[in-house]
Amino acid sequence: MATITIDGRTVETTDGATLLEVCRHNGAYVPSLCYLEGLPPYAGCRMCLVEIDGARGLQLSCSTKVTDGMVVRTHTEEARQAHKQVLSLILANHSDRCLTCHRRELCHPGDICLRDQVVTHRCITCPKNYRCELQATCEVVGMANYEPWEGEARSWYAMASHPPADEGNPFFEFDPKMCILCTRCVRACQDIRHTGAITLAGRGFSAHIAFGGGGPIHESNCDFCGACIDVCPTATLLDHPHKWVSKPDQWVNTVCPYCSVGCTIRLGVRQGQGIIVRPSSANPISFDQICVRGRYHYDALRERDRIARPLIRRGDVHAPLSWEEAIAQAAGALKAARDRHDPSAVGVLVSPLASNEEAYLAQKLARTLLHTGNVDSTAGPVARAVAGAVRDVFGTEVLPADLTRLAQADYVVVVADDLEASHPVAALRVKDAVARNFARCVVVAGRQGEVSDFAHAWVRPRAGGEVAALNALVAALATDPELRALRTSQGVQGLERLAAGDAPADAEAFSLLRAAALGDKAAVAVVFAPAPTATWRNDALARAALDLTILLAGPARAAEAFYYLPTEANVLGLRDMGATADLLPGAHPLADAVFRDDLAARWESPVPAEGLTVTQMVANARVGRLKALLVVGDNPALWLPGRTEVLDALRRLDALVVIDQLMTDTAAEAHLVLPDVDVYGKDGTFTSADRRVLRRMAAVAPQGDARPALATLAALAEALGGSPDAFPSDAARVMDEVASFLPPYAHARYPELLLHERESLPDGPAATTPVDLLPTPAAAADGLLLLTARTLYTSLESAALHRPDADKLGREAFVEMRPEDAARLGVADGQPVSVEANGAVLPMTAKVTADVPAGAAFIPLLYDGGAVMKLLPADGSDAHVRVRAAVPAG
Amino acid sequence: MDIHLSATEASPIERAAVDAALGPRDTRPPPRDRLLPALWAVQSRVGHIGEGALSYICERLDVPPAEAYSVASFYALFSLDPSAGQPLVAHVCDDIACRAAGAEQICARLETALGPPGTPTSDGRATWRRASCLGQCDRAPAALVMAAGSQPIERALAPVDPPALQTALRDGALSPATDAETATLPRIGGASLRLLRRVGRIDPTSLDDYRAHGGYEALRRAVRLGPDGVIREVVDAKLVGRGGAAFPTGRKWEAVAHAAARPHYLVCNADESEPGMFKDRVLMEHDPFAIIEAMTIAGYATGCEQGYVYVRGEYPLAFSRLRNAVAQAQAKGLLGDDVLGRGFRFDIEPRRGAGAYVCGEETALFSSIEGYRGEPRNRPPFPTQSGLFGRPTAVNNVETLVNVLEILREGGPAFAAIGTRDSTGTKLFCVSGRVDRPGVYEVPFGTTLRALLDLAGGLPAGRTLRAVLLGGAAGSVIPPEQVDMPLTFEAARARGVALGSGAVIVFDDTVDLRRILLRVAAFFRDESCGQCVPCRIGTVRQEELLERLVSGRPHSSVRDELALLADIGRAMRDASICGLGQTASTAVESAVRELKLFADGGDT
Repeated sequence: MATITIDGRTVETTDGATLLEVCRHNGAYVPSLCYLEGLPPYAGCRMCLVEIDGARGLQLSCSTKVTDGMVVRTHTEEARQAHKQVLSLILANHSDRCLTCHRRELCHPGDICLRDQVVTHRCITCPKNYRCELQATCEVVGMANYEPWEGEARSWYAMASHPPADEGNPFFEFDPKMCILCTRCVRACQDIRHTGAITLAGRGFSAHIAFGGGGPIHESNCDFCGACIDVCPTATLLDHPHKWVSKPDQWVNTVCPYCSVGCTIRLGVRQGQGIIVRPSSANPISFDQICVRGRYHYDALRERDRIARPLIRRGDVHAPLSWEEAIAQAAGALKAARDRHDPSAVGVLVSPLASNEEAYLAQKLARTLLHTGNVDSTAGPVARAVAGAVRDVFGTEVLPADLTRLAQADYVVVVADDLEASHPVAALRVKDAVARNFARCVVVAGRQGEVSDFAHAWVRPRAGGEVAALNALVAALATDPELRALRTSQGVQGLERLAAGDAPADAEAFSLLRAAALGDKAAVAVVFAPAPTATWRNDALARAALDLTILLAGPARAAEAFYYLPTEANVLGLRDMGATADLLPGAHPLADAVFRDDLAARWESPVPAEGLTVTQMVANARVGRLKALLVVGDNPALWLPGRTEVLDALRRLDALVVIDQLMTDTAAEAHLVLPDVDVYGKDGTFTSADRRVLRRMAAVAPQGDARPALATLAALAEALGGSPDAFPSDAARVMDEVASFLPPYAHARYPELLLHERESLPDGPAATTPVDLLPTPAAAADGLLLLTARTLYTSLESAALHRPDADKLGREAFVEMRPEDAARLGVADGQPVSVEANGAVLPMTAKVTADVPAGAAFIPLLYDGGAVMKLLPADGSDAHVRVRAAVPAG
Repeated sequence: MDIHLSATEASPIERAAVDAALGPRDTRPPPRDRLLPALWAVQSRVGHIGEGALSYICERLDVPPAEAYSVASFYALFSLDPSAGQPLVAHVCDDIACRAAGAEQICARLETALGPPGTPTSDGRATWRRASCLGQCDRAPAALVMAAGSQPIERALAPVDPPALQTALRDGALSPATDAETATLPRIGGASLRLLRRVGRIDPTSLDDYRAHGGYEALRRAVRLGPDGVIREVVDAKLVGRGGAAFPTGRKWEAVAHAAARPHYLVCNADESEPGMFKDRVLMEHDPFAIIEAMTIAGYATGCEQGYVYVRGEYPLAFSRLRNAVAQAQAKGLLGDDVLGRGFRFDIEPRRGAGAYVCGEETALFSSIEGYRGEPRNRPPFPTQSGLFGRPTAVNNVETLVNVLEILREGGPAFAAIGTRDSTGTKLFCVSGRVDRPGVYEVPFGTTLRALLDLAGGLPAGRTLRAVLLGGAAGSVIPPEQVDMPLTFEAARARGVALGSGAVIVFDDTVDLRRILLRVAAFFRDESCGQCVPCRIGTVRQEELLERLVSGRPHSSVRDELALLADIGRAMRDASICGLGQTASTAVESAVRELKLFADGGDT
């Protein structure tokens, strides 16, 4: 502890704390334009000078450590003069019209400037006006409203030409003429994001910020996470979308819906429209970081792209109708199918991006009003496979693994397709662990990603060999005499069943993992992020990853070491809410008759004891056994393998009712489309990968007559005979009901639900019985193994509409294969090819890259709205594709 | 690290050059500090560092392209632009001493014949550029010609023969320096030479010759004394650093020797870049073994097993002589695992700078060796606690180290008897400009400036002394009436000037000092590293303001301009990170103050 005096006030702080931070946290303003909290001082702007008793001259507060008894003055005349002097140097090389123009308080866009002949210098032409840290600093320090030096040729205005701005990418702009070289962007990119795409280049007055090897941003290794934009104190680095809309009307704290990490974002809203996204440091996992999806995909679509009115299919077209009619029609169609056939002829699909409240209400509607257990999601099959393995090991699927601890791990194992692309902020915390905590990292992945660049051992099998490689590692560890003895003594049984490995284990990974397992109290993290397809492979990988976790962390700590990161935002919430064929709310198995009876009493309705999975529903629809389907935001035409079969199934339904904001391929087949509002326009909660219940806020205005899905579900329920009390349209009341009987959500009631509140989960259940490993079936066919997964840049919403600009950077519209495979097939980089499998042909462009494993063809899942799903068999098994150079056109 | 490499491929020649510098591929990438040598390898092989070569270096070193680019773009001797990267480049010095010796006329001539600086010759094989001081002031005007190729040639032409230079540029070819040229010696005055005792008298490429002239006796004595004994002698000698800061060497060594963290590093700062300085070059070119021996003693005393000697990029001959000396010492067991067979380990790696004045600042020099931009670091921590690679580091100037040989030869107290009470020993001064015999002069501390000028033959007949720039670009202007000042640290301090490292540039009444000041201002504008605001922008503001004053077009009044100049100077002095910014206004301010350069302008 240290007691210091700041401007006459006594302040308690820790010895060795950074003086600048202590001053700021205690309300003493010290100007600084280069300091970044939490990082070592750069001390380049030389602004944060303060007076310290006993020290000769003014001292930089950013590089001064607090010592007990220190007496600090931040506002002496000498300090103020020094601040002004340094600022005036900065301003000598920066536009200052926003400070000196007499009309600056009155000026609005479009005004004719009265006093400045050089129109481009007008303050209002700076997009950062009123949200500029340099400008604000000048105001506070008393440097605003000064008289510009009469006629003085100042460095900035004297320059014949300024370097051109980089506007070559869709996400952000870089305008070097506004740069004051504080290098915050450099340090944010290097030290916070571990990317290192930005640097200070050149020297002296020609020093400048450069990206990559000095070219445009989009040719560098920039991931467009935007960390640099957040720290830029001037108009140098700016969002490209809504660049000129300076100030939002309000900031709303809400949750990013684009993966299961659940980063909190601040959404800036102006006139009912989202115009800017910033990270919110309130979230203990993401803190002040988000990724390109969270930052820019809010802007993928315009209001006119969303469905504004309820629609009914008349022949080949959809015609608008009123909400009353639409609800009546929808309820009638569902009721007809239920009554005319059998409740099992009706099904409900819930989107993995739906809120907990939507999911809960949808499954309750299905079970109590449609009397069917056919409730599932397109994310159901993979999630069920993983959850099944987790239950086999732990007896529960609610695990206490906490993502805030990931960065503190000593050993990290990543089993993922490309964690950087699927869960960028989780990948960031893995990099933190390696870069800051000196964690040792093993990556098991066929594709190269940024995380594999951080790995100390990268296990990279041939295409499809991940299961065998991981099984081999498990087998090698399980047969290690010392480790086996240790785990057996801790109560682990059945290790001998794991010993059957047919492939040799990667030696480097083995020795590293063995050290982790035998290490005393080493914190281990196994991060498992399965791709959203390939059910069989994910089942096998989950089993091996779980057994590996038991071997590495021991039976008592395995539960907190296993991080299961589903691809989409609310996959775990859907399971908790019972919006899956195998579970009732509270993640109670459907077979749990006692709970089912309780639930029936609570709901005053029988609860069906059976239900079809999404795969079974599709199969039944194709043979006419499923007649009606209610789809709540889900999009089977995009997410499910066997796209041709899925579309066929949808077309054979008597009634397809889709609640969605977009005319997706699924909605296009619907008899009735009930418009939902954007994810940022409705209340609700998500349950993130580590089971935080995160509050999503209604921030943007609905388009046209669109209503939140929850209101539509409530209206449908009422039309089906449900009471408004049992089916409230208000998210808070739905969560009240959930909280009243599902313990993990007991404190998730609105309004006391705090953002990012994480229920204290029970101690991890001991894992003493490993699950059986699944052997890899013999490689089936010739051709390349088709791999697919979510990629970083393609917008889900935009892809669902088949927008050509869904991937605005144009980086992901390729089928990727290795040079040797391409050479064998006679395919060149950039050449048009046809990809053929499962009776379907997909025309694409080839990209020859060493990023993919040998023997594989990788196609981004969202390319052309899930076009790859045509090539995959409906049963979730693997596909081998034939890639052929297309005959050059013309 | 996240590495996305550019699509441009390195040529086989570039690859071979990088591989030669980095060695064959191994499972782990070579350490980061190999970056600068790798960049040098490409630069001297093809004359520029293209995108493909940079990318290949990144791949070999596992470094992101942005970082390699940032380092490559920092140094003046590297060319990143293939269109401006001719295999043969003449760097023509137009700095203070060369300017006083007619560099402008040479540049004008080249400009007429070949076009403005940077213009390629008609066959695109050569070009010329203006350069800051090349450290050849005693033979001004000077040029450094660098020809890339499988057998790269790097030669200082001093004094420049303009027709020969033009021919070389036109033909795109350069012949290696002849022995006679490299043997050209500075004129040396003074009765009893100590530091310069072997300069010009021995074969600098022969270890045997060095030993025949008393070489390695000091090391033997040092080993007899033991590390503590060596430090005691240095403390007794009251030796202070000759690089400009005048910090007691013994205290520095003690701090490193007693630092708990390991390993310790020794760095010899041979990045002699101060305009007007060339004494370290003379020592390195003509007595390289003395530096190797002195470093070995310093390493022995401070518990270092690895030393680096960082030679400025513009000194190709000094670098090759040092490299040769290190190789010979290694071959004879005078460096390595068992020095002198006395069971201690010490080795030296010569490193070459690539054209950056700021790297003479010791912490910037560490950054440069480590393979980063040569940016100075914040202090504390001081180098003795956390220096090179974050380890305790003793960093000494070349001349300081050579003094250690004298101390061990005659003992600390005897050494302290020379000079004055607070400035002991002798000092090397680099006298250049308008004197009869420019060169390195070794005199005891306490000699007056006037005596030194007389030693150098005084001004040419018929000329009057206008001023002396003492300490180089970062130094102070001494008016004629003060040339009787004794050359000691204490006398300089009392006058508010700095002796610096010992540059003495003499101007007569024919030199336009205002142009010289503009050149000094331009020098700092070019050489500021760009890290901190006061220096990066202040140096530009200072230059702009001087430009206005010199051209007679001040804003408002000369008085206001001078007040603003003083403000800018204060901001640089008080708020800059390192000595470069802190002293960037010293010469200008002292000239304005002492010589009333702009007083006659009056109000406009």
